[in-house]
Amino acid sequence: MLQQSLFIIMAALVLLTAGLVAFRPRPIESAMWLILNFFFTAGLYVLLGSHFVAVIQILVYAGAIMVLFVFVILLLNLDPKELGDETSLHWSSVVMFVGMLSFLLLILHVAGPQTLEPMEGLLPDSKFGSVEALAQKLLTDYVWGFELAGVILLLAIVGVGMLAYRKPKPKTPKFLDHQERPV
Amino acid sequence: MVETFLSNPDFIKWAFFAGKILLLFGLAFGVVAPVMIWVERRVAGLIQDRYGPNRVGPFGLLQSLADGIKLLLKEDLRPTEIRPVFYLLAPILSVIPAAMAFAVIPFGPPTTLGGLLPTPMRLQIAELNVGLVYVLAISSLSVYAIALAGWASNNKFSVLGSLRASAQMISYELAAGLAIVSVILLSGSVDLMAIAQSQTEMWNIFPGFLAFLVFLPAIFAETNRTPFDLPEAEAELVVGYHTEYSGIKFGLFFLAEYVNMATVSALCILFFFGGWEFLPWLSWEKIGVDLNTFWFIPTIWFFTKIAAFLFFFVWVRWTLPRFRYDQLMSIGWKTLIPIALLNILITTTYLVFEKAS
Repeated sequence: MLQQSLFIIMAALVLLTAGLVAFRPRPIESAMWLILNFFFTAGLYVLLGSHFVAVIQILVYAGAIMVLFVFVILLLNLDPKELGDETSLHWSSVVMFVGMLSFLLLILHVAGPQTLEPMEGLLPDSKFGSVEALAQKLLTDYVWGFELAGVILLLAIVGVGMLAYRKPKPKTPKFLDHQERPV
Repeated sequence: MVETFLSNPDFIKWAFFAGKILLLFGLAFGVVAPVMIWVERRVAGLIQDRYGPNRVGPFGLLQSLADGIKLLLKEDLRPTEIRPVFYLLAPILSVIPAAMAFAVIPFGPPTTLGGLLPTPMRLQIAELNVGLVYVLAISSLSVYAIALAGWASNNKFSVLGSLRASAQMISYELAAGLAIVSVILLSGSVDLMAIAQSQTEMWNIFPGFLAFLVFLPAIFAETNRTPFDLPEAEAELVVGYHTEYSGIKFGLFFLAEYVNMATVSALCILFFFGGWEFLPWLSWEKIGVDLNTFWFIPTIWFFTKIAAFLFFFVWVRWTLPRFRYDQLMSIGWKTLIPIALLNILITTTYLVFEKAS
């Protein structure tokens, strides 16, 4: 019962925030709503019993990828006139606050004495979604895909290094005034 | 009627649950942060051969309280050219991750509180079995607060400070994460409680000394503390990203910094210094302490260790000068990350040979 109501609340919030990502006029606002969206999606993973995937979702998407997005948006520093006037949106910060708080409450609730069991018949066994079970699957059944993904990521890193590398200019000796120059 | 209700195991469990939330969050925000601010100023005085705050209350202990009241009652100045929503959002976003990360720190082994509880329960606000990854995830969120604060203030110093802080936090997160990998390998778990309990025989600091050497500078940089306090570098940037903040909004940034310090100190002790164990090869059981009756001794010992570590933070701040920004980046990327990668190799080799023997 509780899981169902939590699921409905989370799913509704996922949809709502996704809509806001698409329809807010200013990119930075959209980015913030997207971060919140990741939190609620993580909440859905928690309801599925996959705590690890939920946390990784926040770590990778909200903590790393969106930081880059936000940076790019902030540094582009678009002219405010292009984006329409800055409407006072105090309620959005309130919603953000409530959202993060409700995520914290969900975490607390999962951890609380009355543990939140995943819906009956939904999960194959009780170990499903734990770090051990996930690692077992990744390093046995899906080891080729796992290793391949690793190699592709490594290639991407090397590629970025190649693109960003500039040949250092040959050093011309420079002397400060107070140093003795070789005669 | 009342007695049966009070002795109802469900009620006791819930009361314990609510009690530990109130107690631990109260401790973090109401005691640790104000006392640490006082300690910081007094130790600064000690190291620089002056007094520090010593007028309000005994030894100046109430100075933080007075400052807190001042910050609460101060006029809420709001510069005209800011971006209002994000200006307001930034301090909130700095406190919430601090609280969320603090919530998964365990403060002692599972206990029945000397027979008060029907089953042993954890002294931890949220019992998460992926606590370590969760802490990493949440601490990576505090970048938003700083980036938004600098950008929304619409001030050159703020933007520079926030850019520095964000780049620094992203870089050192990698080093910290890689150092933690070897802790996971050594302890064989990502549950903070299990990591602490795996160290009853030997603390992780001995096989994982290199990891500690990487982790320590990384957490100093993550919390933006000297010698990595370039985001605030008052000689260059006024105070960086919170230049335009006043009153309780500034107070929230300040509070978050000290709660984060407490969290990373606790993490460091859990990862490397055996959590609440007594001494490296001497667990509480070995010296004959009955943890069923004296359940509070490990917790008090854990708090003592945290206090020692926090003192170390302050000591470093008033002793070491600040790095240059290019030095900071080359330490992070060219020294710490390679060492951490090498250390993963060393740790796995060590574990393979240890298993074989």
